[in-house]
Amino acid sequence: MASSALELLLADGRTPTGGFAHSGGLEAAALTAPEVAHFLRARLRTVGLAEAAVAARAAAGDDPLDLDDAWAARTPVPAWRDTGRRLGRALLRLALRLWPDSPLEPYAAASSLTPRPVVLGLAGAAAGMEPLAVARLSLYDDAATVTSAAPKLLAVDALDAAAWLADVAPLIDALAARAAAVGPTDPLPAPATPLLDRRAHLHHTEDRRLFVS
Amino acid sequence: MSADFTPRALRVGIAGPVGTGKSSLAAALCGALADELRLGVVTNDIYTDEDARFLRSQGVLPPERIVAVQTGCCPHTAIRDDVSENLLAVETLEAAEGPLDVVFVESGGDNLTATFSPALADTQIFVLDCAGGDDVPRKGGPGVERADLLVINKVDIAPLVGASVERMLADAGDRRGDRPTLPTSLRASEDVARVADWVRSELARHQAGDLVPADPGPMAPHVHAHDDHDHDHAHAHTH
Repeated sequence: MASSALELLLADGRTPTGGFAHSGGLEAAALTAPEVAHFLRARLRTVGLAEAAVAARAAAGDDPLDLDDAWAARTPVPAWRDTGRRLGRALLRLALRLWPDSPLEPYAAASSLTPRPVVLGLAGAAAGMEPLAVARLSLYDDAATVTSAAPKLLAVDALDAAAWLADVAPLIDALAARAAAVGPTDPLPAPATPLLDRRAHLHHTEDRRLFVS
Repeated sequence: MSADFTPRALRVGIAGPVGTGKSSLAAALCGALADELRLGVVTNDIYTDEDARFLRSQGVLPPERIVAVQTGCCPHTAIRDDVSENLLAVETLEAAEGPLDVVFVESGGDNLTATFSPALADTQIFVLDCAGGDDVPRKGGPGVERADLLVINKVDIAPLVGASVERMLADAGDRRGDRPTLPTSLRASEDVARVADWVRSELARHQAGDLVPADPGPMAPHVHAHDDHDHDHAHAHTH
């Protein structure tokens, strides 16, 4: 199936999958504007890569329930697992509408975690996307979540935020290739991100916040 | 569907501008209905969980029946264009605390164009108040004109702010055709009781399978899609 427009649909922030309520950890990080570009790269190299590899393996046909567990083992903060589950459920709602008779349906019935990377991998496969394209989309979405939240949180021109996203395009391509090169018997990336983890945990209990995550 | 299928809770949206009394109305309705119905509340605050904490502090429901969602500065989006977070919150609440009869979904305070998607709310209340200016019903908008119920709140302070409740009700009636409008002071239990009665009647329609969400929609040409009667409303609206 030709997938290019469907790939764009899945990447489009206007597609209703709940992303607008998330900042990719930017709100919790409480950075200054010049720091955001560095934050973006750090995220992509760690959680971005790990989630892209999970998404690529899901698109390649690995058992999605095994990938649920692998993802959860690499996502130590309960608040973050909850965020992944919520975003996954929102994407699942869309994907089941678009591809009701795909492997998404038994997965939706069987999975209690529904992490977004696994759902994205299954949705991407249903859209006809290769694992490499799915990995790239996963990384792009992670970065775009941060850059689209930046003008709401900081004194940032939205054009600058878009430029930050463009600047990481080569990094996204490189990391996507790494993520898609993970084979079925290879270990998935397991980054340690203690600062991101701690912030996510504290943010969850913060009573003055704009974003879910 | 099996014979013992339990319908999901009626989802009642409460929208309207900032400060008109949406949280107070939700609290008052919970107080009036909690003894007879199983209730839950989802609040959509802009940058705090103030509304959820206010409702919990009222003691009208167990705290676990009141959940807050964050909307990333976009309260309008969260109830209209992308209801993912709210639907998830309602479903999670029902799964954890259910079965429930009614879930109130309170929007973050927004402007006159913000109404609930029919994918989220089965029926919706739009709340205005006298202090916000008695010309607001005349200005119209989808919530004012086509919400299932329009509440004009704080009528008790109308004389203090120079607002004419009569004018507001007349303008609302002109805008809304047969749709109901209730003037309220939430300090008056009889006013709360009238809104509670409306909720009961909507719940009865929902449980009978007769309630189809009537989307107030976006700013749009004036239509009376649900009127049974012939109306002589040939308004040439330009929004």
